[in-house]
Amino acid sequence: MEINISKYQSLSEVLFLLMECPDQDIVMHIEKNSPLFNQISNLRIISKIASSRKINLKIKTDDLLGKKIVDEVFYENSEEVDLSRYENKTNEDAGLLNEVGPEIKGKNSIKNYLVDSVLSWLSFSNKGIKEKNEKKIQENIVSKNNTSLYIIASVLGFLFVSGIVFYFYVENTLTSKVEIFVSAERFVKSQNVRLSTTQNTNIENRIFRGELYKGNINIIKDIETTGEIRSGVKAKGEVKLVNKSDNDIKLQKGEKLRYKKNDKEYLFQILEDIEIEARKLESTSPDVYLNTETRVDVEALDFGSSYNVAKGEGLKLVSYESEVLSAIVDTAIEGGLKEDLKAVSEDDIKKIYSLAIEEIKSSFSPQLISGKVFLKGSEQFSVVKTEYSHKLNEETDKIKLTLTVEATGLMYDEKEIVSFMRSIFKDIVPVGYELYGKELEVEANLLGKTTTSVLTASEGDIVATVKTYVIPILNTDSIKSQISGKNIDQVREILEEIPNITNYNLTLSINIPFLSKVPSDEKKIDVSIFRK
Amino acid sequence: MKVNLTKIKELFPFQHKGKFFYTFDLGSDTVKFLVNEIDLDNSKLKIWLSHQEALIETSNTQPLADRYPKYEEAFKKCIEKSSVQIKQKISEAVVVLDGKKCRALTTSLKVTRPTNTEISNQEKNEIIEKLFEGAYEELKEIIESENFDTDPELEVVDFSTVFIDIDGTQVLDLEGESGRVVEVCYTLFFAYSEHLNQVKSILKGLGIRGIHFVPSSLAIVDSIKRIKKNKVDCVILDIGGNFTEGIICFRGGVYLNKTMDFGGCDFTNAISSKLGVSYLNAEKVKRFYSFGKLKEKENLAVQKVILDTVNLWSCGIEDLFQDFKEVKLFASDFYLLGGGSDLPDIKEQLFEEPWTKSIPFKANPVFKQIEIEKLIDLELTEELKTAEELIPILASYYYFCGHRK
Repeated sequence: MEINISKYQSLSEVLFLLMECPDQDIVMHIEKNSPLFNQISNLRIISKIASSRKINLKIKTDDLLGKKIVDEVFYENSEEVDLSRYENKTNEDAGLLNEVGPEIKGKNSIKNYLVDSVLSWLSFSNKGIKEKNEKKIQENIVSKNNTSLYIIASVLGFLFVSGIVFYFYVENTLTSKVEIFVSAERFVKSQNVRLSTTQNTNIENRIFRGELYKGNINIIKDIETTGEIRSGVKAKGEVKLVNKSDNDIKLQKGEKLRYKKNDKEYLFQILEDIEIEARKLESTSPDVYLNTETRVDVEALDFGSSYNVAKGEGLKLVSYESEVLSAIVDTAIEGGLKEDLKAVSEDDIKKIYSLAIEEIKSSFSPQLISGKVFLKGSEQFSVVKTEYSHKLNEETDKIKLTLTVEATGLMYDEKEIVSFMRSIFKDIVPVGYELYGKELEVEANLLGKTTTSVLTASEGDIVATVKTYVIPILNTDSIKSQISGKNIDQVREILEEIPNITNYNLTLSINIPFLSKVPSDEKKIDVSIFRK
Repeated sequence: MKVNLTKIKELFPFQHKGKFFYTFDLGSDTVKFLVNEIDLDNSKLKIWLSHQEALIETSNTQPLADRYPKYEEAFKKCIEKSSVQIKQKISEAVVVLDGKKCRALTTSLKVTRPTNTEISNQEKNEIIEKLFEGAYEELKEIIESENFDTDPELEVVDFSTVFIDIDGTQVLDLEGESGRVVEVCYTLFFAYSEHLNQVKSILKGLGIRGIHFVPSSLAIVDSIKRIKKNKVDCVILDIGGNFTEGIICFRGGVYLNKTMDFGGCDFTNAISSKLGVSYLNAEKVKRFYSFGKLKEKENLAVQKVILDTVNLWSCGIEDLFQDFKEVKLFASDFYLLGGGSDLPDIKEQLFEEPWTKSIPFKANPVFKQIEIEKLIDLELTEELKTAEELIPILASYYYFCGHRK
């Protein structure tokens, strides 16, 4: 990757570039008079960061002092570096094979490029021994000239035929990729827009056609119950009723009897209809009456052992005075037992419902098809079905609610809103510039329901924010046409003449020294514009 | 370089006409400005006004030469502000010289005299002049190794005595002492002539007399010595606008200062570019962050940028320390100054970074602070708001102390 460093870029900016650059091979072109050449330590720090990131960094510059510093920092330990050439050098256009190191660009760029290519083809990675290697290559060529003419002729013939075949192969399979980097300004603008499912898109009126989202959500929620119910066995026994009156007394099943113990009152009921005859006159002068007695089964009204009453204890009928009708336990009232059980309370039902609704709202994630965006905040929920596992007061440790809710809201098409917002902002982008599409994002936020903004089930007012960059407009078709069939240096010249380009990467699918050129077929050239 | 000591002494006469004087500290993107009063009755220095004037349309990569018109504009605005608030006719100024504009070097010279006679004023001057000449040659070599500048135009702006020994005994002054082996050690401060001329010309145009150029490293070290009342061994990092200056202090002298082109502005730039805010807003964000005034979410985003930048800055700091090749062992007292030192992460991360393992310190480095409140004859009308204001204050104070001599 090639990076151009302008004279306005500081050390820290260059270090950040290195930290963020994904490539391991970087050629850094530093502009003349860059502050990086103010002191050696700048390039030393750059070199250290590059080493720590295992980046193979090559520095190129037209700055004479810069070249000296580059050599000092990058080739300090190389035996082959001849620093004295700087002292003797008087002409910028000195012999090419002697012009190594940082200097590549300039009038001699074509030949320099060839030297570079040869070196890379032969995998000489150590830049410090570049000069030596070039000499070796030349020596090798000379020694080959001394081999027999026959062998040379045969080899040349073979090479000629192979070369033609190879040329056509290359011509057919070669593709080229050009990545052009242009300077960019940050662009962040917002616009109020009505997202409507009932009206069509209208740029002037800032109306953007949205869609209605509808979907069912099922949730099963359970909680521990907090209610209690009483259970157990009611105490039973037999009571002797004594009628002390002159009238027959009829008692209906359920007639209540009261028993007091330790200031607490316990109620019982009789379990059958019963009639107790009036007292009888047994003798006269004086009159002697015989009270009538009848036995009846009774049962406690509630559970618990506290309702157990011993034989002989007196009870009182709620509807009669003891002087008229008294009651005495004849067979002990016993067997009473109490047990508290967990059950569904009203609070439990309210709580599980609100928790389920809350969970649906908080975890709401609309299921959308690719390319659609849900407008956050526009969601509304309506309950379709509720199903509780237990009824109120039913004994259970847990209650479960199965809730079905219908969610509705507003959504829009991601690509369409980008295009819509581009149309809105096209007039404020300077002539010759355009919004950078690769990192263009539109963020839509609901304004909410206020006196000035609308939010209903079918439409809502939003503030749509475009975040991207503004870049100069470049015609990629024209660039393809200009560079097709050109060799690398011609392509460089063409690209460097296009205004607004800060740097570029040129990649060929097949890279052969001396034969490197961009395909003639424009379809095989891919030109992409990137912001710097 | 042929040094004439008498001429050098005339450079810093510590003589002023009025009670008030300005202090200008020329930063990368601001001019820091003070209005000072020498209170003769109470022997105090009062600082009445502290102001920072931002330089319009400057970037931290702009060459110094292009900044002088901006400095002139800023000087004018500062003086206007002063005339409104202080209502005093002030016509003298002290100018602070940072490590980019002024280099410090400590050099010693040992002379074995043929006889044991008393040292005259003339002989003393000859010895010191020799030492100054040696220092200049030594500094030239250092500068050449840093940026290939073989002929820097430098002027001595100040010097301080580290020690004077005669036959192994320390003395205050050579003159009048007797002995055979004389060893003198001085710190010399050389400023770039071009800068001095430009600033003098600006001041002259504004009707201001430049009464002294104070190297910031000298002002800092002098204050530390006055507070500690002792010889000082320490390391000072002054994080300025577009560079960080490392100052090695040995026996109370500045052994050497060097700079690294990475400073507080680079942190602001990183916030600006990573978070997509303008430079001025990024500066505000940086200050709010330094003083813990950002909301949690914003704070986390800024912190990430700052930490990434601190990592790169630390790499530069490691290089800066490694470049002090002659220092075998660095003192453990560590002073962090300048605007950048307000960033909490720098202090938190500095000694956590692996670079400290490759740099030999006498003991684990410990942060120290210049306790300015201990300078009892210094009176500030307002509390220090940022670390950036400290250095011009110390420069004013240095001038004030020199004046009292």
